[in-house]
Amino acid sequence: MASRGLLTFQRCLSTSPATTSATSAPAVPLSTIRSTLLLTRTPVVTPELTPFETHFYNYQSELERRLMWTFPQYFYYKKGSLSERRFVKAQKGPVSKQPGVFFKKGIPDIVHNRERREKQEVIIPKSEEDESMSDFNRAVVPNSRTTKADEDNDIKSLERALHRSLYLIVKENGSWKLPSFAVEDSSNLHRAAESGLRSLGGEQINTWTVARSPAAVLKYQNGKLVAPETQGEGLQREYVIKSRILSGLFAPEKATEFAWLNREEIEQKVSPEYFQATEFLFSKV
Amino acid sequence: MLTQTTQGSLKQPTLQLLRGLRTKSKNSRVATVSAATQRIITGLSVLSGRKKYPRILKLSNEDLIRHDTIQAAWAQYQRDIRTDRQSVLDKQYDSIINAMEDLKITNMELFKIANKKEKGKRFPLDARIPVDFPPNKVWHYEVKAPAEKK
Repeated sequence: MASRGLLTFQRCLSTSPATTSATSAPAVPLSTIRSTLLLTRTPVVTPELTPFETHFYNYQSELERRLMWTFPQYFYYKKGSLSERRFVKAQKGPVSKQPGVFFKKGIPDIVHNRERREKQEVIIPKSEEDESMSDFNRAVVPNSRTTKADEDNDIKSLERALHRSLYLIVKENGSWKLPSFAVEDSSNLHRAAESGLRSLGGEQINTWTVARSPAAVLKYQNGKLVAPETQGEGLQREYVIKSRILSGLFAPEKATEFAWLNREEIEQKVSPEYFQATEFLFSKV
Repeated sequence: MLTQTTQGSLKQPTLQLLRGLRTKSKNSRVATVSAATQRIITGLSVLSGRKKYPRILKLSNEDLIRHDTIQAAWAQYQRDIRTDRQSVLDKQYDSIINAMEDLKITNMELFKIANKKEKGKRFPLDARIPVDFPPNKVWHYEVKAPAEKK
């Protein structure tokens, strides 16, 4: 990391632009350059908690409740009021200490109607729920985090796996990969990718290009993936442009096979070499 | 309470409201809080501290070890997440550098456009952040034709 930082620093300091070396280098024909689009559907809902996280948060909240001050009931409910009576009625009173009685769970230690050895359970009295309840004070029922697309396992749907990032991959020449498009006369990587996407999947899509600069380069020699540092003749290059889908859908007119998949599913679909070259682009969340 | 002051028969009698009169001097040294805050403070200090607190948590040796283990495991878990995230970020950064260096050699025009700073670029307004539960309409399928911007 330190060496990389130094490199960046040197690059900042260098006064001679790289243009000089680039002009002397032979130009690569535009037909060998393609623009690949990494189109992401970002998560709609928060990530699922792992069992460890669930247990840890539960432990912390129990600790906090155990160390909590006694609930100041007199502050919230005026003495002698109807609401106070309702509140007191809803509480499960603690077991009080009696002379000559054996307490299995230890001798009660009650101060101000609270068992000091344990957490205090404050029960908010529930008002009666019935049909007549207005829209204003009805109970809030959250929507399910799993959708119909999840049940059907519809990999073409954007409503699937709401807690994960989904990526668009298409089937080209019998193999699954990120959609890539030729850079013809546009001489503009990000626009080539975006217009290519629209020509393939229709105009009914709203995307946001994250950056004009490519996030990665994939190099092919004789149709085979090679290391991204490889230089030389006869290389086919694919520059990966990051983009996000905001609304709309990818609906190709032609019988193009496509899927919205998360990282693990992509690993199953694409070839191992392709996944190895692109895995750092796919989020684990 | 009203007091009437009459000074001579020619002057009109003036009425003075005693209720509104200031009883404390303006530059009193005692810091005062607003009446509402004072009411809350009084209400909450009806009970003494001893009565408000639960009993001190006394952990046995085994419990203490258990607690320390849980905390250590959590710290390790967070560290793993952090290092994992950092390594991915490093890979992505190196990949961008590599791609740009490659583009510089390959095609200078493409490189210049890709390297251009996008001044004033912002996140789109219709981008959403993850929430705990999905909205009633999970995805918006209809798209308005965007205004052409060159």
